[in-house]
Amino acid sequence: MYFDSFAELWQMGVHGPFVWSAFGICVALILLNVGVAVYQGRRVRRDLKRIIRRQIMQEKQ
Amino acid sequence: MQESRAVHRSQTTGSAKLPGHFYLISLVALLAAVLTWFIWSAPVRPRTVWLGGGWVFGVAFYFGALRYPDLYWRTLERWYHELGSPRYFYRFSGLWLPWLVGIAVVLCLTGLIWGLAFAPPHHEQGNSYRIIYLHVPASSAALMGYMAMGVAGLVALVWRLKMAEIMIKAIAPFGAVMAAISLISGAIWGRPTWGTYWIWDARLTSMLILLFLYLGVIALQNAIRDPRQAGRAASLLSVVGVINVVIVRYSVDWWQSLHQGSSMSMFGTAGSAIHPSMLAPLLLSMFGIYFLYAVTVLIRARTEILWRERKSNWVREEVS
Repeated sequence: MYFDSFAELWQMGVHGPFVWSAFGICVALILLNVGVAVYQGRRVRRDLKRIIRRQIMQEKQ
Repeated sequence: MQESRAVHRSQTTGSAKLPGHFYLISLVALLAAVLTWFIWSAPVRPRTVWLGGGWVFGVAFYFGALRYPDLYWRTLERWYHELGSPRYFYRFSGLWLPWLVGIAVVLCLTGLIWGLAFAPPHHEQGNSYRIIYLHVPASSAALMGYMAMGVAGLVALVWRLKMAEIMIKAIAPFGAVMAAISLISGAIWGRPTWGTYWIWDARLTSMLILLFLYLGVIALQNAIRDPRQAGRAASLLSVVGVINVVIVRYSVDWWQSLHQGSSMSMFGTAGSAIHPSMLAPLLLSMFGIYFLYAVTVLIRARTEILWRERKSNWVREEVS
């Protein structure tokens, strides 16, 4: 590691607040976006499962 | 009468039809010209390698297409039809997705951790430059994403391919996030280096317009109820907006800008103004973000396919 300790890595000279806030905000945005995509996929699958099950029930009746 | 009309028609189509390899050689020559123009600014040795390699590949492709036309055309046609079919795309992307996720996670983590903790600091900017490991990958992903959306838009407008419209819908959300990240990280980086968060500069403003274009594409798709009509409107905006990608890319060359010019080059360390110890983690995180982009595009496209094809039998079998 370039820094001697994790405290120094956190401080980054005087630039810690800039670097870590940028990384924090942006990584959170990325994770949120990926999470939303996965959640939407699961929701659509769940909804489709329900719709299709209902259709099959109706077909049987 | 009918017979003569049929003869006439066959004659006109016969005379209008050019041999297949005419189109092929035109396409290859056009690509070669564009690439030559693009590569010309590179240093001499990588330029020779790229141009020489490109021409050898082009000539081999051309003679290959002349020698085995059926094989070439049939393969192209098969790709077009298979990737254009939602069902095939769903199956195919399902196979690729786990691998892409693995590669994306490994590349992103390695690149970011290396850049944050192991790369040396900048001699003028100190440690604030480490924002580059987020800023540059996000910006380039936003630009590349829009280019991909433009190509998909063109395909959707010309061939009315349903898959292309689905791809636009899948590409836009992550692209918007990438443009936003580029702007946010750039603003935070600008404070210690330029002394300001924001300035109405050509590069920054055109990047903001890119974000609005992405948001516009998303909004259009949500505003129109009929998916095919929404797809057409979104494809049109995608194609028209590509001009802004060119403006973003060359804004630092065309106008006086606070933003620095590009210091990376496709031709390795010879063309780049970045030391290899800083370039290596940057390239890793760039490819990591590209793979992550591909992952989100596939996930969104799969969701959209399932929903649009919900009445077909294969979706029924797939879901239940």
